[in-house]
Amino acid sequence: MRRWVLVLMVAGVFVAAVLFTESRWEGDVTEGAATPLAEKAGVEESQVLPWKIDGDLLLFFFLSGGAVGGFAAGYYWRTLFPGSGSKEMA
Amino acid sequence: MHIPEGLIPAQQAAAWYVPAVGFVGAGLVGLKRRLAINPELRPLIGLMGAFVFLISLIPLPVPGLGTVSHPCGTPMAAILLGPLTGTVLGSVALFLQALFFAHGGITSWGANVIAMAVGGSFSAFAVFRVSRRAGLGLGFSAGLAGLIGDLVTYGITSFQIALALHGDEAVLNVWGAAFASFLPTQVPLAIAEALFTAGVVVYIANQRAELLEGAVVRP
Repeated sequence: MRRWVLVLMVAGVFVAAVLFTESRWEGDVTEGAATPLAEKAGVEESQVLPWKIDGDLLLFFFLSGGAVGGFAAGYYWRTLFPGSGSKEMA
Repeated sequence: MHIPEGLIPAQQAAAWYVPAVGFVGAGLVGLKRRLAINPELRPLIGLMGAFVFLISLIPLPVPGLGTVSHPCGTPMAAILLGPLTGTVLGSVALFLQALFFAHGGITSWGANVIAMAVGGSFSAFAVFRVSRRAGLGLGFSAGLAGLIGDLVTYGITSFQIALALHGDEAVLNVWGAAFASFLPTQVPLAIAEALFTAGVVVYIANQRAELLEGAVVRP
């Protein structure tokens, strides 16, 4: 029960974040902090890698990275704590 | 806090690489030794590696501000496995994120390692040890270490940005302005990192205390 209350609270924060914010969610906070300084200094982001990952491809990589990382975390968690969650599964 | 490609001048980027490679190299040597002594640490290292990768990748929205940022994860890894292992795990996460997620950069990898992997790990480890020696509880000490480790990371990133882009202004003034612009977004996330760090450390200490035998969670 307490677990579900916690999940609902966290979900509520994220829903509130989307509903009650008029911003356009433009980029990471580091970009927000660095961009004005970079523009003032005449510096721009550059590319050194031979590939550019953006748009839906970036979304795909984020989803895949999240899935792989989540699987690895779950796998090692179950290795370390084999009994955890067994009540819910039974 | 991942500084993107090209924002830091080449000389400074190279200069950040030197200590970063040194810390990561020392961490790898230490990690190899520890695994030879205690192979049972392997799953915990795998778990912390996955956590650091995920936690430092996911963009979390901050209600009301319209900004996103991420916690670091390295404070938790440093508390459970030591600061050099935390540095190694953070540096691997940063490398993968630079390669495949347009998050950070290859040229700025050294600077990002110093901020998140080294700064986050060592500051959190120091705060945790001092707190425990002062008699504070395990959860509180871990939470405080998570909070400070997160903010120190962003403080170092602000300094790196200021050093690279200060122009004619004094570096410290630009550092103050850059750090101040991080705080409204980062303080809520640092609190979230504190709660998560405390929760995981206490859970592991309660469930599998033997895993942490000789580690820093023992007072």
